Amino acid sequence: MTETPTRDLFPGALEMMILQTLRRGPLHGYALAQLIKQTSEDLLQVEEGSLYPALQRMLKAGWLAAEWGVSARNRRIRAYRITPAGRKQLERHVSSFDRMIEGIARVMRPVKS
Amino acid sequence: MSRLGPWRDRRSRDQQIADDISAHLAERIDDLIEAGWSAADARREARREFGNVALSIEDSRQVWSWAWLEHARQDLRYAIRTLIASPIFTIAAAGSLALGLGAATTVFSLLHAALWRPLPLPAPQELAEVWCHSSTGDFAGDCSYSYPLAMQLGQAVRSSGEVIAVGQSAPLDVRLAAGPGQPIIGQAVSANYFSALRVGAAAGRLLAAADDLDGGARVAVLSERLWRGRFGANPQAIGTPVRYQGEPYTIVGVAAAGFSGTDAEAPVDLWVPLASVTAPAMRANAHANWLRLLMRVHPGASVPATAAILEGTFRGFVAQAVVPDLDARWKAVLDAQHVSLRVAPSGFATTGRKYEEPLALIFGAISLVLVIACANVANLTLARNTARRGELAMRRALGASAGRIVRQLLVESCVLTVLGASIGFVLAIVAARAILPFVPELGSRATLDVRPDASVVAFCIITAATATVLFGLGPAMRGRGREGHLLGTGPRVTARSAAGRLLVVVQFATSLVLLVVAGLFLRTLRGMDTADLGFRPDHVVTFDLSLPPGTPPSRTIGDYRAIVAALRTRAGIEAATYAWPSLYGHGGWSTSVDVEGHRPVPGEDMEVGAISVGPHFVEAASVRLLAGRGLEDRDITTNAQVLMVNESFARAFLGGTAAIGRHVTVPGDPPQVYQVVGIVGDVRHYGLREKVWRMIYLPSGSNGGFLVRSATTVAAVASVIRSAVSDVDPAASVEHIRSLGAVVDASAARERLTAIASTVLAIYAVVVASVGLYGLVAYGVAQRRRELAIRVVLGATRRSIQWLVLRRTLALVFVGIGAGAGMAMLLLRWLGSLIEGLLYGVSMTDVAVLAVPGVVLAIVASVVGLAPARQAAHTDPMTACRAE
Repeated sequence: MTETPTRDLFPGALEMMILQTLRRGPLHGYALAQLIKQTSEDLLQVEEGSLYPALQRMLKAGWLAAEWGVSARNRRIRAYRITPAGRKQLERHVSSFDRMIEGIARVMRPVKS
Repeated sequence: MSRLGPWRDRRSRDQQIADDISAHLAERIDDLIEAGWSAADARREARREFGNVALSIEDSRQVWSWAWLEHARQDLRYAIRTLIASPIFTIAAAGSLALGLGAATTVFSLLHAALWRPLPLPAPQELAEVWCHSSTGDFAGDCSYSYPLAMQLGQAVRSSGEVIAVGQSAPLDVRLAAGPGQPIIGQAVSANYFSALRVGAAAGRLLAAADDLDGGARVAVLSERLWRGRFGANPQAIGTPVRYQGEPYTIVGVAAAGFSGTDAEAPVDLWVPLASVTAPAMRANAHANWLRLLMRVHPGASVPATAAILEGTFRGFVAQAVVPDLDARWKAVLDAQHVSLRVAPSGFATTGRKYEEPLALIFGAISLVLVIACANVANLTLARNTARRGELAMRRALGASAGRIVRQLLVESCVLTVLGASIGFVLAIVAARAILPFVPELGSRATLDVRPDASVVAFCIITAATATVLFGLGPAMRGRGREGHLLGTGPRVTARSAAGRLLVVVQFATSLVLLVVAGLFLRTLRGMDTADLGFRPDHVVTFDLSLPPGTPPSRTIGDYRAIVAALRTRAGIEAATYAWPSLYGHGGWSTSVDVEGHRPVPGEDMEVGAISVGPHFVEAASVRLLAGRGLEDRDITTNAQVLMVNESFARAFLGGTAAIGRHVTVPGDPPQVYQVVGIVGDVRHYGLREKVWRMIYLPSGSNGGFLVRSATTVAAVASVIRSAVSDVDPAASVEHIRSLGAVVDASAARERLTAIASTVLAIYAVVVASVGLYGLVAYGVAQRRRELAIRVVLGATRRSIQWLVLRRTLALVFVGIGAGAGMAMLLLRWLGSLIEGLLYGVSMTDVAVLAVPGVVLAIVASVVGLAPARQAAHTDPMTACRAE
């Protein structure tokens, strides 16, 4: 497998964000990228190019499905939607992410006297 | 989509990814234009935001590809490119491997063809040869049995298997109705031959029990090969007549395709029943040993138990049928003989068995050579990886994982191996065929099929794979490369030097072992070539006379006498005679004697070897005449009771010069009394390795093979012989014409083969080791250039610099020589009996044999090490210091 291109983020972060974003409904890759940028209020910069290998990995893993549709500009686009397996994966991701955040918080927070 | 196949599937997926990404870009550009950007700026901005489009597409596609396969393809391409880029390294490495692997495969294919390849028939592992051996070491080798014994043995073990009897296979003049007369190898076999071997019929029927009875039909079975070649596989061939040894036979069937008898080196094309080729008297004769026995042991039966039954039957037969006719000495010889079973899936494998020891030895030597070759390639690879450490570090820095680099280096090793193994395999095919003429038992026939089969290919592949691991893994692990190397801050390359030094030590040690072995066999060969045989084999041509069956003895005697007389009158012929057993011939007889004037002490061995000879044996064989005269025509024609004795006989029994005229009595009924007329020098009559017997030479009217001395060529003498014989008796035919020198040479064939092979291998090993050493020293000098330059600046003389470099080389080589000497001594102790049996005129503990290779290697190493040392001594300090 190729090394994960999202070097700035922790492993699996991009996948988690994609799954989370797609939970609201199917999206085209471009729309997906814009949405992730907006919701993270540009705090997390996703390099758009790295989105597509991640999408392909998730298609292969069965977390996503894709079908061709038409955009608002009448352009042929590919819409990605989350599958039941993808939802399960997201839950796993989120719980482990929560544990991690909690762990970091405990270490970072000053010990109460 | 998937119905269109994976390839199409993949292409369409690739297209979808590309379309998806271009739609993304198009949407973004449109968005930006709507936001007021100019078209060109929008396009630029969209691309900037997206990043590397091509990389994104490639990475997306990668997700679906078999990553390892994809990588392997990349690695392979890259490996081939780098190997092409350094042709000298590639040629040296692949060449070393090709020679090593080629040599190993050659010997394997010979051993496989001559010894190991099972016969092409069902369950060959059930086959066993009825083997004979002697506890005193005599009569090893050809195991043959009389017809009555063969029958008794077969009867005794019929509950545990079937015993098959075969006669000699020999090229015989078989005349087929369908073609011209041509020697075809025929063999007489017992009726159960095909059924017990479980060989089916391709056409017609095979042999049946009724065929192998007195008065049975004269029937013949063809090989499928002969049937196809001569009859075009025509079923009409069944029932047609064929002449075998002048007798009419009828073809009744064809054996299954691929079957060519029970000895791979002598394929048989025509089989006839035993009964049809022998007179009833021959089959009743318990003294005529002419059959070889193979047994198919039934799956449940125990081989040792069956062998025990065979031995018991043999003992009983000897006691009852053979011994009563023999004197005490022969009784002792027979008592020492035993019969057992030897598992023989490959059948008789006569020559293979004979060459098993030398081939095993050569195989061992080749394994050592292969180790040297691998060490060499490992050394080359190490050096090259060191030179490439900048490149490797760069690749690490650019994100290649350590595993990826190791894999890349291993792939390069694999490419080298494949290249080397392919060349080696081709070399092996050529070499196996080229070696056959050195085996005189096969050379004249060259019927052994040494074409590589699946086993040979498998051997080559497995050996190559092992070699790859041996030479590739170490350097690859070492060559992973660290990012620090790029900056020149990585560890110095002392590790590489340590490994390199170890490899050079191994190479020199192995070379020494091979040189010792080669030395032993070269000395053996020289010992055999210069041994005093007591006769001069050069310029003697031998032949056998074959007379039609039923020729009366009087006519035989007349033919022998007339042929000798006729030959002597021909131009270019110096002398002609006959002898039985012939010089270096098979068989022989011995007798106890009573010598006039010699009172034997009790228990004294009075047994002497006896040779029947024609007139002028002394001249024809160039035997030294020490006293008296040789046997002449008049001794033969008048049946004179005279004989010649040899030096050993005279020394033992005749004591001094008054020997001529004394009488020797050969016991018998009635006893024969002969007068000694001459004393000849000792002759190695039975072969070089046989002891020198006390001998008597008795005059004979007709016996054995002819010896013709002439200064001309074998071919010229052969035509003279043929014309002389056909002048004397048109019905007689001449067989086995060959030079006595060739016969003597052939007796040393095993030793010659071993000597040549071990010498070639030793030279190869020394060359490879020298190249390795040169590389190491030159590399070391290059590494120490600055240090040496500083030494020069500080006043070191050239001589001292030279010595500094050379000293390390020699220390290394002496360690190798010492280790090699130890290895050689261990090896000789371990293989003692195997090697000792092949040696002649040299002892394994010979000091020179151990010392000379050591000195040779030391000299070679000094010469090889001197060039880099001189180069180091002539280093210009300014240039050296500026270079870094």
